[in-house]
Amino acid sequence: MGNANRYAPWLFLFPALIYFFILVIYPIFGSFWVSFHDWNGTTFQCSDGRSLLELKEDESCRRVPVMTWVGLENYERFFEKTPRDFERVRNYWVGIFTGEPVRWPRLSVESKVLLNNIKWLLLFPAAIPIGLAFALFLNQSPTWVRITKSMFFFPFVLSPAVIAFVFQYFYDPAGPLKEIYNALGWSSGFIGDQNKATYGIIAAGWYPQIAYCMIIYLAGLTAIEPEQIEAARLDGAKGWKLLKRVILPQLWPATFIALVVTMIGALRSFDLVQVMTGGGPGRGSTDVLARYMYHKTIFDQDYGYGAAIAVILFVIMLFFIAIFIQQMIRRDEET
Amino acid sequence: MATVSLQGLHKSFGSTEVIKNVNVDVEDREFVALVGPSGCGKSTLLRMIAGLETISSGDISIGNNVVNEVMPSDRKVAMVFQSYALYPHMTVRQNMSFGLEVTGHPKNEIIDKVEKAAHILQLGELLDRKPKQLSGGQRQRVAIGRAIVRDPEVFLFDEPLSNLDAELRVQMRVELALLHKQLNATMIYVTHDQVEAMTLADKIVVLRAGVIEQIGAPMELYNRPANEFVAGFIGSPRMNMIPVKTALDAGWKGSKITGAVKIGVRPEHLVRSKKGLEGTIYHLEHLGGQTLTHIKLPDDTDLTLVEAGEHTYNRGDKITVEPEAKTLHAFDKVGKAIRN
Repeated sequence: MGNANRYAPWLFLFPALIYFFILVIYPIFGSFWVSFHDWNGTTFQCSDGRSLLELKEDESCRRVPVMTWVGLENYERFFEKTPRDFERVRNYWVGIFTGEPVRWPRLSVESKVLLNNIKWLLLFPAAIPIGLAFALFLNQSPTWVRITKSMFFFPFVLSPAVIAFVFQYFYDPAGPLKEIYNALGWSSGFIGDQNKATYGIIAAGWYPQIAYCMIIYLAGLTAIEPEQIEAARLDGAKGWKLLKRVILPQLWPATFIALVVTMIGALRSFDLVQVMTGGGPGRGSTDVLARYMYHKTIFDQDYGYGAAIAVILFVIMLFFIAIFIQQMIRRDEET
Repeated sequence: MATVSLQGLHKSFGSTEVIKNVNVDVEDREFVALVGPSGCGKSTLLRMIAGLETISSGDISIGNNVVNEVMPSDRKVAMVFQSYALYPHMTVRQNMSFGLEVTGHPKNEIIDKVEKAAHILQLGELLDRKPKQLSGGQRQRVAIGRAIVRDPEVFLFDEPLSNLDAELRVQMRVELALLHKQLNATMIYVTHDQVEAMTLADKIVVLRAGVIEQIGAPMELYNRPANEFVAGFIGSPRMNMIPVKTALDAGWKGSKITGAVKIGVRPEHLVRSKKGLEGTIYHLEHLGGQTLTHIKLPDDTDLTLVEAGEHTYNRGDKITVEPEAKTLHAFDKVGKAIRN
C-alpha cells in the first residue's frame, strides 16, 4: 500500500511525461542545436560520411543531416542591423519631438519583425479591459442578455483563419469601409498600407481575444457572492467605486489569466498575419517572429536561421513566463 | 433610532406573489423577529426594507419617512447577511470602514467609529486580519461591526446565526440580546428558528406563504396562538394535535368546544395519569434534563410527551396521558383557534 502510494503519481504522469519530453523538451534543445548550424533542411548523408549517391543500388545506411557548424553566426545575422535601426528609430522620434520634418526610416526585415511583435505586446492587451466591460455588461440576468451572450461567445469559436478572411474582406479598400477610407484618404485600405497594416491585423486579433477575455471574466464574476454586491450597495458604493474597490480586486485571478493568455497570444501571433498579409505589404511590414521563423525555415530553406529565430522567441517568452510565475508565487504566499 | 412601518406591502416575482398585504409596525428600539418556514417570504420582506428588492405595492416608512424609492444606502439601515458577505480582499478594519470611506466621512471619525465598534465586539486584535483567517463567530462579529459603524437607525439581520454551530449559536444569541440593550437600536431579525425568535424578540411576526399569520409578544404567541400553524411553529417540540373525537372519548376536560375539529396540547403540558388517552411508546429521546417520549395512539395520531428528568420506559409499553388544567387549544376546520 505504501509503495503503491509512492509510485502511483509517477505512474499516472508517465504517459504525459513521455509526450512532454518527445514533443516539447527535445524540440526545444533540438532548436538550440540546429540554430548553431547552417542547414538547408533537405540534404542528408550516411552516418559514416559517405554521400547518398555513393550507395550501391541495394545498399542502405543511417541518414544524418548535412549541417555545417557556424557558431553564433545565425544570431549575428539576426541582430546585425539592430544597432543601426535602433539609431534610426531614435532619430525619427527625436525628430518628431523637436518638430523637424522626418520620415519613418528604412529598416531591416528583422528590425521590423521585432518592432511588430512589440506593437502586438503593447496593443493586444487592450482586449482585456474591453473583455471585462463586455463581461460586466453580460453578467446581468434579463432574458435578452442571456440570449445575446451566446453571440458574444461566437468569435471565440471561429477558426483564426476564418476571422482573418472575414477581416480581409472587411478591410478591402472597395469593401464596407470604403466611405471611411475615402474620408480619411486611405486609398489602399487598413492592411494595404505598410505603416498601418500591423494595427489592422491587431484590431482583427482583438475580435476573438475580447471574447476569450470576456469568458474568463464571466467565470470570475460568478465567483463573487451576490450578497457582497448588496452589502456594498448598502455601504453606499456604486458605479466606479463598487467596481474598483469591491469587484476588481476579487477578479485578480481572472485578470492574471487574461493577461497571461493575451501576452503569450501576442508573442505567438501567426495565423492572422499569415492569412491576411503574409508578412507584407512590402518586405516584412506586418511580419512577426513566429511567421518570419516559419517563412525562413520552410520557404527559404534556412533551417539554422529559422531555429535561431525560434530560440530568440523562446527566450522572450521565457522572460514573460518567469514574470508570470514569480507573480503567481508571490500572490500565493500572500494569501 | 426610528420606527419602521410596513403598510399594505405586496411583492410579486413575475406572476408569483410572494408577499401578500403585509402590515407591521415596529416601535422605536424594538427587537422584532420575522419567523416562518423557508420560502415564506421573510427574507424577501427584510430585503424590501433594506431596499435590495423593489416593492410591488404598499409603503415602507422608516422614522415616518416613506422610503419606497430611497436608495439602500440612504435609508439609514444596516444589514447583516446570512453569509456575512464580508469583502474577502479587505482586512477587518477595511471591511468595517469601507462604507464610511465611500460616503466620504473624515478619516479621524472613521478611525474612532471602527475602534469603538471593535471594542464593543471585542475585535481589537483581529483588525488587521482578512476574513479568511477568522472563525465563523469572528466573521459574524465583523459583519455586525460593519453594521454598527454606520450608526444606522435600523439594524436588519438575515438569519445571522444559521451558519454557526449549535454551541456558538447559543453564545451569539446571548451576545445579540446584550448588544440590543447596549445599542438601544431598532432591530429586525429574520430567522426560521423559533428558539431565536422567542429568546431575542420583543415582538414576533409569524409568516407563512407571504401572509402574516400572527403578530405578538413571544409568550403571547406561545400561550394564545391564533391558528394551528402558529401553534405548531412556536414551541419545541411542536404542539400535539389530536382529533376532537379522540380527546372527547378520552374524557379530556375542556375539549367540548363547539366547532372544534382539533385539540392541541403542548408536549410539556401532558402528564402521565391513571385515566385519559392510552397509547403505545414507539420511541424515546433522552436529553439528560428532559425525556421526550413519542407515543402512537390507536387511531394512529402521534403524541409527544416532555417530562423533566430521566424516565426509563420501554418501547412498546402502554402509557396513559392527560393535559394539565387549562392548557388545551381548540382549532376549527380551517385551523383557526377558538377562544372561550
